This record gives sequence, structure tokens and C-alpha cells, in this order.
Amino acid sequence: MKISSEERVVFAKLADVLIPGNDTMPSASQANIQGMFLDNLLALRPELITDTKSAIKIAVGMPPAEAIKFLNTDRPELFGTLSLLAAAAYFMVPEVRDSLKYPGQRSRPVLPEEENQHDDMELLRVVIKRGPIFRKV
Amino acid sequence: MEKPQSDIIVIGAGASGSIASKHLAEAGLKVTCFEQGPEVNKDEYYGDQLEWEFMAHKRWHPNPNIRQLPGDYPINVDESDVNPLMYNAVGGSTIIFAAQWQRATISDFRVHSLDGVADDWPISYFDLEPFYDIADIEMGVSGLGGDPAYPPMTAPPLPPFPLGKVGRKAVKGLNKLGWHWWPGPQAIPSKPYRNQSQCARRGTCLHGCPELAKGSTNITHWPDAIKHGANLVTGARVQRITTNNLGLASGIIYQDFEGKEFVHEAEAVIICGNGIGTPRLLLLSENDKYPNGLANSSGLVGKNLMMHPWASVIGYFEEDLESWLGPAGQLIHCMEFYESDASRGFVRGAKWSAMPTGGPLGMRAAYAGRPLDEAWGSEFHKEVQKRLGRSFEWGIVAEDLPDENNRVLLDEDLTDGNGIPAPKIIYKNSENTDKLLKFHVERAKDALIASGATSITSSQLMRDCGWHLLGTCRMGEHPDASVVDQWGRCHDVSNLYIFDGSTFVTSTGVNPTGTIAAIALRCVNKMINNPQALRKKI
Repeated sequence: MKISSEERVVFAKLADVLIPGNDTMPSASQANIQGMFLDNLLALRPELITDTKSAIKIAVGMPPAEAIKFLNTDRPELFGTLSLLAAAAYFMVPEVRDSLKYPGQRSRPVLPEEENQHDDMELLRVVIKRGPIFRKV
Repeated sequence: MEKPQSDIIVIGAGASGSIASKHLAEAGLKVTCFEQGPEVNKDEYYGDQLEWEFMAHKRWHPNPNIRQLPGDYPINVDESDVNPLMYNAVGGSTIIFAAQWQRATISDFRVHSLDGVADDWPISYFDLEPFYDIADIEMGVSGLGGDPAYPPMTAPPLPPFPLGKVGRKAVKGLNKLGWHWWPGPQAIPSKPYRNQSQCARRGTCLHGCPELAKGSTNITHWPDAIKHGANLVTGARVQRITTNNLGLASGIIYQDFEGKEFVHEAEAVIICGNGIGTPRLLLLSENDKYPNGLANSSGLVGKNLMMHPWASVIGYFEEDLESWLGPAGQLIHCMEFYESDASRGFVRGAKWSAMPTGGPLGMRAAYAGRPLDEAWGSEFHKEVQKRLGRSFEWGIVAEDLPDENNRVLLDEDLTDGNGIPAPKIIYKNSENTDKLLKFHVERAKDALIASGATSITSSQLMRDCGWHLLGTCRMGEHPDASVVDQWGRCHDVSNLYIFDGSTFVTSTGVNPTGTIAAIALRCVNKMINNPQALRKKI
């Protein structure tokens, strides 16, 4: 079961209500989350496809903002799926991450030059000076 | 037909079961460990993938009722203020824990003597101290010796992680207020160490470590256990412990996921299912001789559940703190308000951890259920840009006291995938805990203001916070007031042992896995040095 091109159009409009564009950030559809990113997420969690299709089906023919309001109040489980997919896909888009200056959870092991923690030890000096705080038995 | 037999059966391959299996196998004993979960493969971790946070909502959720993997069992939480969290696999919850590797303090073992509440432990800090030292070495702990919140102790084997921007920001507030802090000890290697890789600081520790760095016992202990001949059976749902005509443990009956039943016999059985799994199994093992459940003449099996209610206080700052950088557990800890102070109106205290706030989607979790116009639309970008990378959390571990009304029992209807009765938990926060949490949340806000936070949000009690499952088979000297003795041996069944967090007498106010490991090491050391203890006849 796949998301059709018509369904992607509706999904994109709904996602734009949740994540509109502004001066610095693209909207959900400008980031093209309704394409490969949505597919990647649904491939990992195929159990969400039914709810996604149901949300889209309800929204067909409605103004997107009204559809979002309806889903949020009357079908919160569908809204939860839709909003999770929209936000998760959006934050995976490289242009979005660049705009947020968010590098992702990349590898950054402690480097040898970071091991010299003299400055950290300086901050500890006052704690050490105050002495033990544990309760004696 | 001859039944498979071992010297010792270990039930559960989490922290304590892994430690027991490794050391018993190294001592030359024939050990078989039964684990209901699988071995997790490296490619199942998403911490180094774009989809990491998305997968944390289901596949890597810490709540088994949400995750629902084949190795999980459901838990009825209808009457609980807190959801229990765990992971069922080889390595157990050490696969998803934050690896904050704290020791309990001296006072934690003497709560009744000092504060007139709960009970004293039958052991002291100093009984456990040598085993804390061994656990530090076996788990690849990074940290700094000399913490004034503890008596002098052996320094961990690896240097602490740099404070980083988050740690320094937290320190700024505490130093301004003159409050205690110390680099947070963590079972995460700051350098390459034994079986463990160097931590890559991805900050995705709570969803399995893709670097195979974090001190999860599937990495730290099982390779050595297997090398020394330990047998590991995964996908094994133990449904009961069997007893012989003398009332001693004779073995187990377990099922695979298809429901096929197996029997395995042993000279001794060690249960390592922690605060929910262990009492569940003892209650499931009732028989004519033990009609109220195995090892339950005291009536305390399942009672006194403690789960460490957790509060979160997050500060937001003008400057970039890189607060997605790991490790996810703690950059520093603060124990300024750990010990009792009668003037506060409650007893006992809590440890705080300064933690990074992670990626953008996880931060959005706080917006679930909020009005549309606050969480979405134009506010979406404002909130993300305000919070992402510019915040850190004071996580507060509250010491909850034992209360027999907080308990684990067998649910009358709910079952696991094999039709075996599932546990139900009943857990309510006490007035003391409520007061404690309220006080600590206010002090954490003071600390964040002193650090320069421009705004603060807090949650006094998170429902999905039951990481620490303790106290339901407490240790003690007297059979009428405890389930096991100080060596983990059941008072009622002399060849049945419990080495896990269920043996805690009080919960302490720190992350418990370091103490669980030390208890397991102490108990298994006693067992190895006293092989007679294994014999059924004893």
C-alpha cells in the first residue's frame, strides 16, 4: 500500500498548515517532505500508512486549515500520525538542518586537545575547597 | 528423555544477569542464561541515521507497552502514576539507559537510622565499595575521583568527558550559588576501552549505541561470558520456576515464541528480571507448597515498588550551547540537596543531572496536546529556533520511599504473547515525594536563572519516567520482613537467588544500575567462593 500522487498533494497542503514557510525557513512542501522523506518514514513504520491515508481522505475537499482543526479535535490519533510524519520528515531535509544550523547527531569523539581539562578543573576548585557534603553515619 | 541441565540457571540477560553469567562461567561453572528478548544487531540502532528521532517514537521507545516487540510483555498501568520503562534483550535496559553511573551514598543504606523512615539495608556502602570499584572497571566508566558528595573513593578508569558548553553553563549557575557539582560519572568510555569503542558523542544513547561504545552488558560482559562457556538462550519466555519434593528450586519451564515448552534443570537458579519481571516470575511459580508464590512467605514479593519519579526543568539561553552534543546522560551532577534537611518539610532528597536536550523532533514531544496555534503554524519555527541547541535540562531523580501499597501483581486478564499472565502495577506518589519534587524543581529553576536562562519550562512528574524498577523483593536479615538475605539468597528457597534491583531496601536518590552491578558482583563473588551454596541440599 503506497501513498498516491494525489494523496501526496493533500498531505503537502496539510503539512504546510502545520509548518508554513517564513523569511528563513521553507514550508513543508517547499522542503518537499511529501516525496522521498515521507516514503522513507513510512517504509520504516508501515503501520502508519493506514492512518495517514485516513487523515488525507478526511481532508479531501476541505480547506487545509479547517481539515487540520477537525483532525486535531475530532481525530487526534490521525492528527498525531500526520503531525509526527510532517515534523520528522521536515527535520530530515538537509536544507532545513542547514537553516537551523543543526548538524545532526554526528560523530564528534573527544579529541586529544580537548582532554586537557585545566579550565574545567579551575571551575571545580571552589567545590573542592568547600569540602565533603555527604552525611556521615 | 534426559532433561538439559546446568549448574546454574540465570533468568534475564540484563545488567545483573550478564554480570552473574560472566563471572560464574569464568569460575568454571556450567551456566545457562535464559533471556526472553533477542540479541540486538548493530544495524538495528538508528542513532547514526537521519531517522533516529522518528524511530524513538516506536521501535526504540523505552515503554514496552508502546514498543511492543516480540520479546516484550505488556504491563497494566491503569493504577500507576508512572509508566515503567525497560528493554528486553541481551544487555537488557543497559541498551537504552543513559549510563549515568552513580554510587549510592553512605546515608542511603541507613535511612531508618538517620531519618526514621523506611528501613536500613543489611549492608553498608563500605560492603559494596570494592564491588563498585570492579563495576567501574567492567563497565568502562569515565569520571573524576574526589567528589565531595562521597567518601574518598577509587577514581574511575577513564577520564571524564569535557564539560562542554552545556556543562559550563550549568556550572556557571551552581558556582554563583555556591552549590555542589561534579563531572558526571558515566558508563561510557571517553577513550577506546576493552570491548568498547570510544564514545562518538552522538547523544543518541537512549536508543541504543550505534558506536558500540556505551557500557551495555551485551558489549561489556557477554563476549567474555560466551568465551568462557556460558550458554545463552534467547527468545525464551520463562513461565515458572519448578521445585522438587524438598521445596528447592529444580529448574525452569520456558516457552519459545511459538509456544513450544521446554524444561531445563539446575543446581541453583538466579533471577535477574529486575523490579517487575522478578516478582512476576515468583508469583507465576506458585504451587501447592508455595501457594502465594515462590519465596513469598513474607508476603513481600511484589511489594514496595519504587520507580524514582523524575522531574525535568529546562532552561533556554540566548547563546548556542550545541545542546544536541552527547553523551546524553549527564555532563555534571549536583547533589547539593541530596541529604535530608528537616527544615524542608520532607525527608531524603534527589540527585540532579545536567543533560543536553537532543534533536529537534524530541524537543517537539513537549508540544503534544498543546493548542494548535501554540505548537504549529508560525509558532513552529519560533519555538524550534528558540530551543534547538540553546537549552539544557536539569533531570531530577527523586528518592521515593518504600510503601507496601505500591506493588506488582499478576493481572487477571492481560497476558503476554505466550498467554502467560502479565504484571499489573499499582503505584502512587506519596506526599513526601510530591513535596520533595516541588522543592527540587524550584531549586533547579534558581540554578537555571543563575546560569542566565531567559526562560524555563518544567514538568514536576513525567509519566514516562519509570526507568528504575526497585524494591519488590527486598533484602534483609529477617525472613518475615524480607525476601532475600544480603547475598541475594531467598529465605524460603535456599538454592534460589535474586541479584537485581528488586532487592533494594530503599531506592536511593541516584541512578541505580551502578548499585545493581555492585550487588550482583558481591553476590556472585560469594557464590563462587562458597560452592557449597549451590548444592540443593544446603
